Amino acid sequence: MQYEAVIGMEVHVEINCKSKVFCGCPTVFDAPPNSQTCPLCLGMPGGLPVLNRSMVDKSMAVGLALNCRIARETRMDRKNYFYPDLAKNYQISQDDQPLCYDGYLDVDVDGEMKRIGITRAHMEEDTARNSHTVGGGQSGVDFNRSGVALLEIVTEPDIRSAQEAFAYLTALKQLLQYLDVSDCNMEEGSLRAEANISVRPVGSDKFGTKTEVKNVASFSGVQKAIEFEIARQIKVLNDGGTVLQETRGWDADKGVTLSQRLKESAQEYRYFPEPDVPPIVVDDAWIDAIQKSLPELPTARKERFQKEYELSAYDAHVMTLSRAMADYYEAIVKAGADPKKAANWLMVELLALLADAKVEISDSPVSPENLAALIGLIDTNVINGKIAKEVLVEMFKTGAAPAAIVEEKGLGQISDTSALEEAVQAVIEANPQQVADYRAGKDKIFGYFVGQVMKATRGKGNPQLVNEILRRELDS
Amino acid sequence: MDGLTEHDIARLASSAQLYLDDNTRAQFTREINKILEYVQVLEKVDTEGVAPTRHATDRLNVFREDIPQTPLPVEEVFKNSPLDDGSFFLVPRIIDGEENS
Repeated sequence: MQYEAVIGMEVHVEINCKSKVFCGCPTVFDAPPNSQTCPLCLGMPGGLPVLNRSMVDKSMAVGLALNCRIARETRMDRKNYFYPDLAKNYQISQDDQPLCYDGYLDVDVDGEMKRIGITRAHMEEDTARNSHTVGGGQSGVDFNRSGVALLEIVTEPDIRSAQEAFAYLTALKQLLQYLDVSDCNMEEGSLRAEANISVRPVGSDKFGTKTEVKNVASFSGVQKAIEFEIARQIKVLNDGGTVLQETRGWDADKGVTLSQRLKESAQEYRYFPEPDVPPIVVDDAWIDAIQKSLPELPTARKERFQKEYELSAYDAHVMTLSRAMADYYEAIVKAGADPKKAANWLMVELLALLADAKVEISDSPVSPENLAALIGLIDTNVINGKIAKEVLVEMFKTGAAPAAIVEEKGLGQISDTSALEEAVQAVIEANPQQVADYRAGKDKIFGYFVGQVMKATRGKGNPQLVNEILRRELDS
Repeated sequence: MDGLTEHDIARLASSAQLYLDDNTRAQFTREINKILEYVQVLEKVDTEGVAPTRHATDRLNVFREDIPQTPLPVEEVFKNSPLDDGSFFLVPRIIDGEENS
């Protein structure tokens, strides 16, 4: 039988507020354990949670960017369960009135646009972090993460393959980074993705039993875990078995999902309204203000780059992968560089240097203005393209301006006709046999002479002039 | 209203992670039903056309600005802790994969 996969994603993303969502504790990553806590986020009795306005603003921005409707009246709820990472035995979350609901995100799956429905995005607090490395059969609990602003984004079961799930996560992360609401660092846990996966016979409109896959540390891990899980479920069904509703963890080393918890006795969270946080009422003015504050989003920016700078779809795609990249690119153009040359130098040369040095574009030692100046030096024949690449390497090392490097290293292009004529003359005299061959009709040998002259000028000869003079001297 | 059965009480106790032996379960079932009977008087109030109350206050939109405050000194943090190592609260080993949220 032919099966198809039905997948929904749940993404938890830590929103980059400076303080926690219900108390003023700082949220610096990697602070010493339990150094960013207070009676409230430690779950002491009597604490009064007060909602961080910035969390509501940023969550609404995400909702609007995901084409969601924004609830005009919403509230926080208590989700009750027992676990050592939850000191007060409930998590403040949102149950049946999420702030954002009923949206979608269009994602590019191998050149095809696919619309993924967004069921909801709701505000909640993060839990403490458990570490299992403490000896003596105990676990350590660090409450620095307890109460950090967390947004949970849930999709409709619209995803049909591991590849689509990967494309969705990539597009969502790109959007969140454009909005500057999270650093989306999976390794540090500021973005966590879970997949609900089931399979059903092709053509069926019923859902199969789903499993939930957790503990995945990267997007490619999510893709592999989903691929594995789809194959596993199909095999179970083909062997005459039934898929159990359970949580499964991804074991990246073995490349398999493993059962962690059967979900037959569904958790009862006994949600009820959080009495300590008054309801939230959102009016048009608030939504308008957030809407106006949204930056240009990736898809719109990509289309504008194609139109305004006449970039190819691929180049525009690369130039808008991140907001930092797009900003950098536009800064080069704004500093006067030709848009196509700017894209080329950024994509081919600078990105390679950044990748080698494992440096983010936002920390590039080469400023966009200096890259524009470098392109300017080529355009005005001060240096040729080959030398420019060397200058860029030097700029990357020192952060210096290109003109200073050209000056200091004497890399300026030789466009002085008499100097080049001298060099050409010397090369002709040193290679009588080749000259004879050339004059006898071996046209191809011309490149050899160009190479010799460039060698003599240490690559600095103006290539156009060198060509002209060589032709004139050899053909005469 | 039919009242709660011992089965209901057992389920609630399990949700609250309370252990009740047969006697206490029977006792609590009786006592909780008594309390429920007592508040049943509220059912006599005509609530036709009255919207459900979700909050006891009439306040709306109470927010704080996103400004970090000084956290508790670490010595204070562990003052009430039954077991810690000065950095972490220590709890019985947590089984992998039971995490929530």
